[in-house]
Amino acid sequence: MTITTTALQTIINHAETISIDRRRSIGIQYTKSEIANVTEIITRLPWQFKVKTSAYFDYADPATRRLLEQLDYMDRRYPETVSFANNSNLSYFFAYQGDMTALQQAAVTVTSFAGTTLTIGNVEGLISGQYVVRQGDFLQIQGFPYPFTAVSDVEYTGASSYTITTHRPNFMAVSNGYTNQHINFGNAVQFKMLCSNTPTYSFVTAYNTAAIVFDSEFQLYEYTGPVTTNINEVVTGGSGGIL
Amino acid sequence: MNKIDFVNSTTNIKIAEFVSISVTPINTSVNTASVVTLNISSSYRQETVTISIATGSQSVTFEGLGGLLSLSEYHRDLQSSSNDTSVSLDGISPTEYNNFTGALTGIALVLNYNVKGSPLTIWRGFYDQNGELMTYVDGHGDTRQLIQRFAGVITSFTITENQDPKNKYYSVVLNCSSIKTVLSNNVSGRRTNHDDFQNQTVGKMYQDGMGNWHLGTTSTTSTVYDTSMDNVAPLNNAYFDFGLKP
Repeated sequence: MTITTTALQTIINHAETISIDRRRSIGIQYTKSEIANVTEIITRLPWQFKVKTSAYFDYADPATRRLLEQLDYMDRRYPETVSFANNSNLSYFFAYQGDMTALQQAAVTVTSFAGTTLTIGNVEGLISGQYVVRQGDFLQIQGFPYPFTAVSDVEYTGASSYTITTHRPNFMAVSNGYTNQHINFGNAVQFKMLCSNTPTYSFVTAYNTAAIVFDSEFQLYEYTGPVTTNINEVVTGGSGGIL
Repeated sequence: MNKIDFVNSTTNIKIAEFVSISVTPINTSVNTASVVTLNISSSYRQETVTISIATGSQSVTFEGLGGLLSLSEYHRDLQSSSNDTSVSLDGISPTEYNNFTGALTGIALVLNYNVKGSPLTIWRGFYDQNGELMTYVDGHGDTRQLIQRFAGVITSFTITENQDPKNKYYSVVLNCSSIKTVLSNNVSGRRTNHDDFQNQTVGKMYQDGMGNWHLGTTSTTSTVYDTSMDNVAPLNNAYFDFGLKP
């Protein structure tokens, strides 16, 4: 039985600080003339968040009991899909900076995605000079759990098709069926995250209850494995497609 | 291609290693067993490339293992040299990866197949800024993607398993010797012992039309085994009193 969890989402909603690690696998060697030679092992560049939560959760609160049970159930085994859009206090996080309305965004579809070049179609209704996406905007092909960012501005020119350069190359196969899919923009993207450390927690006595304190920050690591119909599932066998 | 154009005029390169291993199943006759080839890479995705083989070229699909595949250092010299290297396959349990892609690797590879002595080839692929594998045209005018770095055989393997319940870890290391090392260790000719002189290939002799004996065989003359070393074993460690009357 698979249980749908909201534990990591709760942790994010109660975050005090969130740090993001997008560093690539890179080695630098300096020549005698001090020219830096950079070698990169090209990877899927998974998103990594470190989330520090607020200090105390009231153990007597059923929501806290639910949170603990779900965390213990998930442990480091299962990922959870989290979003930064369902909390009004975090809605500025990853917010879309382009000029398309929600309706115009919903019409956009994927034409092709080769390497870091994402070609989109059905871009309509903007005025020349407005932006389809701005540098740093988040994009996610619907039905797939992998968020990408745009590395440069894309200005509307009147055409309906545009190419966006993404921060990491496409590792989905065309056979996975991303062509003609719609796209989530900005904080509508979702992250499928595993908690690679799942902190233990302590009970701090309080009057008629206990305060729950997590013993370390939460280290969240994006799941970049094959897609299944269950977005919370990690594929460990069967015909999973790409690794 | 005398130089690697991909890295000739840039200080920023993106690479992945590609490894091909040909093995035969254990407990199967080497002569009849079908050879299974494992093609894996440290790339972030599956890649289908064209590689050169003795009879021309072949399209090969490499499974992308990302950071689960790593290689030790190996030297590159201007002249042909003998160097060893090793290939590490990390964190792959026997069943998971088998089910995943139909390929074999990790512990299943070394336990179920004759790994020692199997040929292994390593290439390097270069990626462009878009994350696409770059191509070049070789001396025959054919389009290629990979540069060969190493050819050799697997000489031994090591399995490392950490069964700490909270930190399970599997690693298989394949130790490889350069093909030049293998060739330099080859025995040529025949040794002066009974076994070699009875060897079907090198121990046979034939008589030519003049009645002279030669090593080897021909299809038109009768052949016999060389008997020169037949008395070596009985004479070994025997004592002779050279002053004694026979």
